[in-house]
Amino acid sequence: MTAVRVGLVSEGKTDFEIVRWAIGEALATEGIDADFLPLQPVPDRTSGTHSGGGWHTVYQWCLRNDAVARKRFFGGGLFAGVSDDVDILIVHIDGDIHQVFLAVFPGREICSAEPSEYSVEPTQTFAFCTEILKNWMYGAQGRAEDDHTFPAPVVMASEAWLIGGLGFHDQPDTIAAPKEAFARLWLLSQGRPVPPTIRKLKRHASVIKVAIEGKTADLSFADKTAAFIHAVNTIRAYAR
Amino acid sequence: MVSAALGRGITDIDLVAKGIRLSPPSLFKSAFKNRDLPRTFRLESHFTNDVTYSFDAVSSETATSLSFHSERATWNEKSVFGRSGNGATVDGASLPARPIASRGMYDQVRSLVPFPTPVVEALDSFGSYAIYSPQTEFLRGTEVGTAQQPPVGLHGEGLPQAMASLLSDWGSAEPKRKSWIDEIFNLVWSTGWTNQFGVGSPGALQMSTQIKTGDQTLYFRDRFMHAERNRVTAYDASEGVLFLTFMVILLAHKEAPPIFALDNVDSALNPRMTQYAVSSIVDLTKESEHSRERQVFMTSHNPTAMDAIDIFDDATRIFTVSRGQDGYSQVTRIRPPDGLTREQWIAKKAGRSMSELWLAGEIPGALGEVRF
Repeated sequence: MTAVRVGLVSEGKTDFEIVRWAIGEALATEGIDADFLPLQPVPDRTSGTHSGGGWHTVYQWCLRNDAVARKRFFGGGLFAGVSDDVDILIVHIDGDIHQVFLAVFPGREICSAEPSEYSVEPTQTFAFCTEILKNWMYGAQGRAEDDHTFPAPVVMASEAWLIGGLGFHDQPDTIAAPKEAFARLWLLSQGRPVPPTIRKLKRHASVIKVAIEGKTADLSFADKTAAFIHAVNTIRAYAR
Repeated sequence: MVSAALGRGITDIDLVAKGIRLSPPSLFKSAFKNRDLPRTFRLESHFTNDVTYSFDAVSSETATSLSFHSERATWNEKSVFGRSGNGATVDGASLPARPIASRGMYDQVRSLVPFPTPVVEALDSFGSYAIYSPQTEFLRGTEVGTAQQPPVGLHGEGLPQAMASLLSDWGSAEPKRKSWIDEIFNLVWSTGWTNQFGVGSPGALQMSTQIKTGDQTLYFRDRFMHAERNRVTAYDASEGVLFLTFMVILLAHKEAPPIFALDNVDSALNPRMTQYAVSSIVDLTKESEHSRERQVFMTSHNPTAMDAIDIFDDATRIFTVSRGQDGYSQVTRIRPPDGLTREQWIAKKAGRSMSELWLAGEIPGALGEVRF
């Protein structure tokens, strides 16, 4: 089995857990053992962590970790005996920031790409988010060759990747009880206890699956999976 | 001191009960070089609903305690009560006798006069204010004292009794209040090692016979330990969990004052726990069913305490306290420039947190001046 260590910057704990699970499952079917390292620091409240702005966390991480600072992740770490090296850094963001930026940030300096130049079609949202992340990560000079940091936006919300993750197998039935898998992951990502019996878990599962599907109802299956497959392919290229 | 004046008065015993460190009366008054020493000093307070209260206090080197020179409370700019060298008035009418000089006038007349509700609400709620400064010996129970103002003493005196009372309340509470108290209990669970606490007698718990404590002690269940040896008394528990338990009482107990101060809120807590604890206090204070009347003042020397405060939110504020060139104390509110959005602010500080800005010396007045 080959391995890949992925440093993952995401908007929050839920996103991290979803991405880790969905991509991890997909790579595992190809014999790749992906180990994910959560990288976002616990930011301060003035930077908006409790005001519904999870993307602030990603933006702030990019500001603090420019290309020079990021080199520490790829070459030796900071402390002896503790290796926090990664093979690849993935910066993930929910595509719903396109809507936010359309409403709030036209022409602002934080928004390198003009949101109104992108339609609300899923592929355009993906392109917009990619452009934003590239600008935050690489600046105007673009990505350096030895910088293994890549954008990985999701079209709507990371919940879509749950569905994408299942769809990637092309046979969701191979995963035992997918509804329960959703529910278990969801509860874990919320820091809530997982019910000890399948019966109790199932009670949660139906409600949660409906919620997830409702949140991603506007997307076609292809839309849900396209960004996901893009991320999987990006990481796969770095598997050792 | 204003709170003491609205309570019983401003003698030493009154000030101690508020958590004020005692000094000789003359040292309460500013005495700068090349400045005339005033005979009195004045404190003014402004409350919501246009209620004000102010007093002038006399402090001299010969006096054994502070005393009132004058006092005045107003509502909608009209005098509610007051006193001066010319006598005392309540609602415009003169009192036949002078109030006692060392005792606050409000405390002397409030039960006799039907003051307007906004005045009573403002002065009563601030009158119960106190500065809490928990100390390990009291929290552990090796030092025993009395809680002068219920539910718990300023240093942690009577913590087991306060917790027993809170647990009793929790046991009989309505679902909504029970859920609210449960939320506050999360402060204790946040330590990660305990998932139950209670109050018991030291004899029934495992504690060294050489240790002298009060009749009751707190205990915590260590979730990693064997069922027969998993109860850890306050004497053996971590300082952090005791401090957080103390916070639980102040936030959840019905008798806790609506307005209070926590000195050195970061005591015994690591940086991450400091941020979590302050965040929780902020949230629980703002979300309380009585949030309108609740207010908490906290002091800290731990930078991560600042990470728990949103300076864009007018309801949560950070002040630096420093001394200027002339030695005057300066209290300055830290807030973003007018017109700057949160996103612009994040970009301007290059993604750094408030704690990092503090450590970098980029928060004016927050580090003071170090003379080498």
